[in-house]
Amino acid sequence: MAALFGQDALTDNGPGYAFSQAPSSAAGGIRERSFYPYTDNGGSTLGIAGEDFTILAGDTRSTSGYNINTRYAPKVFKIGGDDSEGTNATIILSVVGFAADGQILKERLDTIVKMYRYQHGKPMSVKACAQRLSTILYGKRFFPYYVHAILGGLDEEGKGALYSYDPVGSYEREQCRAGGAAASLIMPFLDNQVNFKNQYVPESGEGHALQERPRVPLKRKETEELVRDAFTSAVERHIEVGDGLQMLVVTKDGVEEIYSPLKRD
Amino acid sequence: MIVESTLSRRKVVCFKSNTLLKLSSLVRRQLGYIYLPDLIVEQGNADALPQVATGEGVILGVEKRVTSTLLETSSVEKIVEIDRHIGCAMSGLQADARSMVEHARVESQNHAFHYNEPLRVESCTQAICDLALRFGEGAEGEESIMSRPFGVALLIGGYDEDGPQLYHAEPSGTFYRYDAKAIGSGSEGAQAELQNEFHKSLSLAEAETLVLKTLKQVMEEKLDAKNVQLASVTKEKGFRIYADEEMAACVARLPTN
Repeated sequence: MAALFGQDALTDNGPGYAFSQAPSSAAGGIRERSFYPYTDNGGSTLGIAGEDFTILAGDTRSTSGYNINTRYAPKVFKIGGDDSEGTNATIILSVVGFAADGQILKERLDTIVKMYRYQHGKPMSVKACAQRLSTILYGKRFFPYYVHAILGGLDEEGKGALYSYDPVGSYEREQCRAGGAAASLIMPFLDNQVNFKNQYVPESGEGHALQERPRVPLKRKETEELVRDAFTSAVERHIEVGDGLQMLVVTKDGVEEIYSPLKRD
Repeated sequence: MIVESTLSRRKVVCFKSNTLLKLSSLVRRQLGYIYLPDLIVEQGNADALPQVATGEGVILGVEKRVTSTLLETSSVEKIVEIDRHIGCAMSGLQADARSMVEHARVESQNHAFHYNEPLRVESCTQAICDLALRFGEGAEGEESIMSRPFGVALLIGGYDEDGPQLYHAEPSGTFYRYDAKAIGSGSEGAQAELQNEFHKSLSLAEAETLVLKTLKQVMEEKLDAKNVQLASVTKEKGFRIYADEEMAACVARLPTN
């Protein structure tokens, strides 16, 4: 994501502040000023859809360059609950990238889902919510919400549903997806552990004859462990990830929140 | 409550739905209550209990009054499609119905675009009724878009996740859901007939017959395949206006007397 923001934390220009810290001056006393409307607040998110549950997780660190703004800024939210706490919500959303945009995006979607219930007399399905989120994002095609959003819930059959988005609303239903600063670190691990990529049945043959290890639906307990492992590893290798791990798990019984500490270094 | 009603200038300033019946017949005619009433609708088994296998769909039926032997009957359009799963029949000023149907179609497509799912029949009806109160200037003195209320009543039939449904949208903007409903001229008699004959386990074919039978009773002309029109909304085929051959077959099924 960092590359997308145009300002790299390691260049002289500074680590992703809205205002350029050092206005450059040219000959003749002309000064160039700049305003950059986006900031990269770091952090990482991850979602996995199971047979009858969906987990969305995110670390709780918020950064600006080498600074930590706070050690507890949630990136995963309940959408369309009865109150501000999100009671009785059945849809969850994670946003990572520019935190302010993420906040507003969550706020907008939440309001829309609540209004939908009043207008149509039924709760919004994840499928409908997924399409709506896409149109919200595309609605700001030329001044996008700078976020990588992941939407989770249960589909009409009660199966885990997970949708991931790019900043302008292109989306896809998937089994698992990592987003944010450590996405490139976590995603290959997920491909291997969730979709069993590059795993073969031993002794099944050589070369093209090798048989892929058949996919099996993950159990909730082992999925939670997988998420925890992914984040503890990401914390070791990425400076913008850490402090705390927040998980929201949707099942037919509702949304459960699990918080566990991560390294704060 | 009527605040002011200057019909010569085609302007009804304000009215409440429950006072509508107290209006003069002239006003009611303007509102589409008495005007050109000629329509009946009937629904096959609305509340589809799981054990009843006949919750098949909605049947809409209208009389096409042939006012002249030179009139091309196919140009009388009283049943129209709103979306693949919603259709509507009208009684009153048909020109008014066009803007309501246009609104409903846009609303339905918009919903499909934003939510990747068909619009519910009740939501569609609500959307149409929201339009009914948009006459006159706005509360903050905005320029008025419509000079008078709509003068047409609609029967909206559709099929969604809750099964087949039928709504009656009045010009006042209120709407009710019915198992079977007749509006327009002769609707009192037709409604009484429906009340006697309707039952929850009606099949679609039985519903077709009931609609035609009821129409036949209240029509002045002799009912034939040319001066009535049927349409159905079912889960499998969606909204469908009956072709001439199907109409003929349905009319032929009617008991002769």
